[in-house]
Amino acid sequence: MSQEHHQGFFTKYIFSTDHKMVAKQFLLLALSMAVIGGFYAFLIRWELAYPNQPAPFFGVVTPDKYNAIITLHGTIMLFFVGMPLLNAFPSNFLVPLMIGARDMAFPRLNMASFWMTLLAAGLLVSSFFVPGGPVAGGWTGYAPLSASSEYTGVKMGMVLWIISLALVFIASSLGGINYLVTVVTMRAKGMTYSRVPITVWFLLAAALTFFLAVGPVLAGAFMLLMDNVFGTGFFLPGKGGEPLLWQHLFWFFGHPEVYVLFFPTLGFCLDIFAVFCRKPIFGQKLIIGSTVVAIALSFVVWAHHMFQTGMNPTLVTPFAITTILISVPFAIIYVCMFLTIRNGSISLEPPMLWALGFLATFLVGGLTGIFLGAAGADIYLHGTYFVVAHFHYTMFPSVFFGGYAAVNYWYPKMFGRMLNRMAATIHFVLTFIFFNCVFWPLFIVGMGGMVRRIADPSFYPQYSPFVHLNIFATISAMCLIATQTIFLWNFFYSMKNGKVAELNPYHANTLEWLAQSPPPHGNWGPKLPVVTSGPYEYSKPGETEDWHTQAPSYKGEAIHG
Amino acid sequence: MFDYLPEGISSFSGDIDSLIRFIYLLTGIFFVLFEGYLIYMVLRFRKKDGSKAKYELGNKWVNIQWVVAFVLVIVTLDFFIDYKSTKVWELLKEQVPVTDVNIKVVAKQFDWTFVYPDKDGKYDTPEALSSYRELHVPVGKKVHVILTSQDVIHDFFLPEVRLKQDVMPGREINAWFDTNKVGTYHIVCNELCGFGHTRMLAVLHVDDEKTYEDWKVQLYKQMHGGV
Amino acid sequence: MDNTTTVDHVEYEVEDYTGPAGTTAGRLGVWILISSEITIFAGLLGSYILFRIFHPEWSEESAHLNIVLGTINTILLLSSNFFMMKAASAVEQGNQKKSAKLMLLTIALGLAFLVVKGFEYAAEFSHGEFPSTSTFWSFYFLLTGLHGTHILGGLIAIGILWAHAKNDNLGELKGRVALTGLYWSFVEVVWIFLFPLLYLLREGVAK
Repeated sequence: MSQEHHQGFFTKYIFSTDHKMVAKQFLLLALSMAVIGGFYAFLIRWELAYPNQPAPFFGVVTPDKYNAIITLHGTIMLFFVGMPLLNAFPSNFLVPLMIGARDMAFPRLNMASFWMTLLAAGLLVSSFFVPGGPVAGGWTGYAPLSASSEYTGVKMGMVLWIISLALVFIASSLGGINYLVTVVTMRAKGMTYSRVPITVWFLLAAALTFFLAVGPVLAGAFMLLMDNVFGTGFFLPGKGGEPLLWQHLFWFFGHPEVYVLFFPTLGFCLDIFAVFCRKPIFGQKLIIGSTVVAIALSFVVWAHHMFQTGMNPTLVTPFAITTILISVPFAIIYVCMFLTIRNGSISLEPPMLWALGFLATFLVGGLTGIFLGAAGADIYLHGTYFVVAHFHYTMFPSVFFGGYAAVNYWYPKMFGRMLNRMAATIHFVLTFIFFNCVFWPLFIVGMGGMVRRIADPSFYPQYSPFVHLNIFATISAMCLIATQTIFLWNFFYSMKNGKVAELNPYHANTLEWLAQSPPPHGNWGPKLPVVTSGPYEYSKPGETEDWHTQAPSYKGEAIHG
Repeated sequence: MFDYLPEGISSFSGDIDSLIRFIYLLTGIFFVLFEGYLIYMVLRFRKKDGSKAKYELGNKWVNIQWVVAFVLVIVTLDFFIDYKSTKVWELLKEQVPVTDVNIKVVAKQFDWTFVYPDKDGKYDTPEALSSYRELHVPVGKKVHVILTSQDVIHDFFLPEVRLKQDVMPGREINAWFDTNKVGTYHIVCNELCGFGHTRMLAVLHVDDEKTYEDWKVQLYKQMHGGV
Repeated sequence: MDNTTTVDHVEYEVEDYTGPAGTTAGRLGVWILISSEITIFAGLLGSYILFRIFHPEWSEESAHLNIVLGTINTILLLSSNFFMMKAASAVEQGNQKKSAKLMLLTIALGLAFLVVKGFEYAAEFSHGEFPSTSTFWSFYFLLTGLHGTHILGGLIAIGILWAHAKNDNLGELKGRVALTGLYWSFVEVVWIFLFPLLYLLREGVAK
C-alpha cells in the first residue's frame, strides 16, 4: 500500500480512493437527492391539501404526475438518500478509522461504488425528462402494472428506473464487500472483535443483510426489464406469467432492506448514548446476539406485506408468527438503549438530542406495526394512510434522526470545525415538532379509511371530514422542509467558519477521535494505534477521568497529506 | 384516533373494530410507559456536579434476565393479540360460507363492473345482469363475491363493511361479506392501478329486499330495453 | 506481523491484510461476492422451478433445446475450469509463462462455450423461439444470457491476467489468478445447475 502524498485536485476531490473523501461524496449525494425527494414530498402534500390547484414552483399536480412523484419520492428517499446517508457515508468514513486502519481493503472498488451510485442517480434524474415521463408504478413497482407500458403509460422512464435500481443495488453490494473484508482483515493490533465499537457491528450487520437479500429483487428486476422491453410475460398472466411472483421477490428483499436502513441508526445511537451519558452501553453481548437473530428472522417475515393479496390464507399464520418473533430482538435492543441512558450523566448536545428523538419517534413506528402485523386488523388498515404514517414513523427516524445524529456527532472529525450548536438545537426542536405534526394526523385519517396513492381526495365525498387534517399536515410538511434549510446552512457555513474543533471535543474513547480533524490521507502517523481496551470504558470506578481512550499509547504525529 | 372510523355495517365489523381498539389499548399503555420513562430519565439523570454515571456493563445474566423477562411479557401480549386476530382472519378469509347472493366483481383500469348471474348461476350469458359502478346487495344476507381483474392488480375495499381483498388478473378470488343496515356506502380501489386510480370509485347500495328486486328488474329492462 | 512502507524517508506501518486461517482480503472478498451472486441465481432458478412445477407442459418446449450442444458446452466449461486450476498452481510454483499458456487455453475453451451458445441462440431464433414466445423461453434466455455475461466478465479478467503473465509481469497480481479461478468455478457451478434444470428435465417435476 502506498501513500500518495501529493494529490492533484482531481485525485484528491473527484477520483479519490481515500475512504474519507468517498464518504463525503456519498454524503453530498444524499443531501442533494434529499432536496429533490423533499421537493416531491412537498408536491404530494400540496396536492392532498389543495387538490388540482397549481403548486408553487411546479404547476398542477395531475394524476399522472402524482403517480410519478410518489414513486420517485419513495425510490429517492430509500435508495438515494437512506442508503448513502446511513450505509455508504458512515461505513466509508468510520470503519477504517474506528478499527485503526489506513483505508479500506479495496480502495478503488470503493471509488467505483460511488461512481456507480452517482450514475444510477443520474439515470433516475434523467428519467424525469424522457418522453412518457418518469416511472409511475409506486416505489414497490407491482406487476402487471409496472410490467408493461400499456398499463402505466410509461416506457423509457420505467426502463431507466429499473436500470438505475439495479446499478445502485450492485454498487451497495460492492460497498458491503469492502466494509466486511476491511473489518475482518485490517483491524489494528489489539482490536479484537469484542473491542470493535458497536457502530461498526451494526454497519456490518446492515451490509451483510443487504447483499444476502438483494439477489432475488435483482432477479426480479431483470425479469421486469425483459417484460417491459422484450415483451416477455414473467409477470403478465395473459402471457403465462404470475404477478404475485414479483411481490414475493420484491418483499423478500424489501423487508430486510428496512433493517439495512435501521441497523446503522441503532449503532450511532448506542455509541452516542455511551458518550453523552458517560456510561458503557448496556448489554453489549445481548445486543450483538439479538442483532444476529434479527438478521436471520428478517428473511422469513416478508409476506406480512402481502396478507391481502389473495395468496393462500393459511400462509398468513406462519408469517404472522415470525413477524411477532422479530419484535423480540428489536425490543431487547430498544430496552438496552434505555438502560444505557439510565444511571448516566446526560449532556443534551445535538447528537444526543437526535438520538433521544429517535427513541421517542421510532417507538410510535414500532408499536403501530403491531396493528398491521395482526392480519385481522390489517384487513381494514392495509393500504390506508395508517400504513403511510407507520412507515414514516420508522423510516424518518431511522434515516433523518439517525443521519442527523451521525452528521452532528462526527462533523468535528470530518471537517475540523464545530457546527453552530444553537442552530443545530433549533433544527432538532423544529424538526421534531413538525415531523410529528405531519404524520400523526395521518394515523387518524388512515383509521378513517383514507387510502394511499390517490391524487385527488376531493373526488371522495367520504374524505371531506379529513380536509382540515390534511391541510394541517401539509402546512406542517412545508414547515418541516423549510426547517431543513437551517441544517444545510449550518453544514456548509461551519465548514469554513465554525469554531475550530479540538481533537476529541466529546471525550470519546473510540479510535477515530485520536486521528487529526480531518484525518490526513492514510489516517494515522507512522505507527498505527495499538488498542488496549474496549470502547466503553466510561466512568470506570477508580479512574480520575470519566473516559479511557482505546489506544492510550498513540501519539498522533502528522503525516504529509 | 377513532373519531373518523366509519360506521360498521357488517356482522364482523364489530370484531375488527374491537380488535383494533384492543391493540390500541395495549400499545397505548406501552407508549405512555416508554415515553414517560424516557422523559423521566432525561430529567433525572442530567449531568450534575458531584454525581457520576454508573459503570454497568449488563453482560451478566443476573442483569439481563430482567430485560429478557420484560420483552417476553411484551411478546406474550403480542401473541395474544394475534390469537384474537386469527379468529377474525379465519372467519373472513379462510372460508366462504354458504351464501344467498353471488356476484362477480370485474375490475379494470379504471372501472368496476358488477355481474349478477342468471338463474343457472352463469355470468357470461345475456340473461346475466351487468351493473356499472353500482353494487346493490340485499340487507341481512351473506354475499359471495368472485373477484377478477382484466388488467392489473386492483383492490376491492368496502370501508364500512370492513372488507378488503386484492383483485388479481388471471385469477378469480373468492370473498364474502354481509350487511345489516340499509344505506349508501363506498367502494374504493385500494391498489395503485395507473393514472386513473384516483377515480376508481363505486357505490354500494344496501337495499331492503323489495328495493333490491325492483332494482334488478329495472336493470334487466335497461339492458334489454328498446329491443 | 508488521509491514512498512516508506514515504518521504519516513517509515509507515501498514496493515497486513490477513484474516482468520490466513485468508487474504482478496479471497474473502471473492467469497462474499460469490455468496451474493448465488442469491441472484437462486432467485431466478427458484422462480423457474416454481413455474415448472405448475406448468408440466413446459417439458414439450424444453424438448426443443439441443442436449448435444448443451453437453458439449458442459464439457467445454469443465475443461476450461480444469486448466484455470492448473494455471493457478503454475503461478504458485513461480512459472508465469506456463500459467499464461494454461490461461490462454482456459480463455479459448470459454470462448468456444460462448460460440456454441451463439449457434444455439441463432438456431432457436430461426425456429421462431424468442424470449417473448413463451415464459419457458423467457426463462431460458434470461438464465443463459445472465450466465453468459458472467462468462464474458470472467474471460475479460482472465485475459488481463494472461496479458501480464505471458511477459512474466504479474507482480502484485499473482494472487488474483487463484481468485479469478475461484470466480470461474462459481460460474461453472451455476451452469451445472442450469444445464439439468433447463435441458434435461423432461416429464415435468410434478410426476
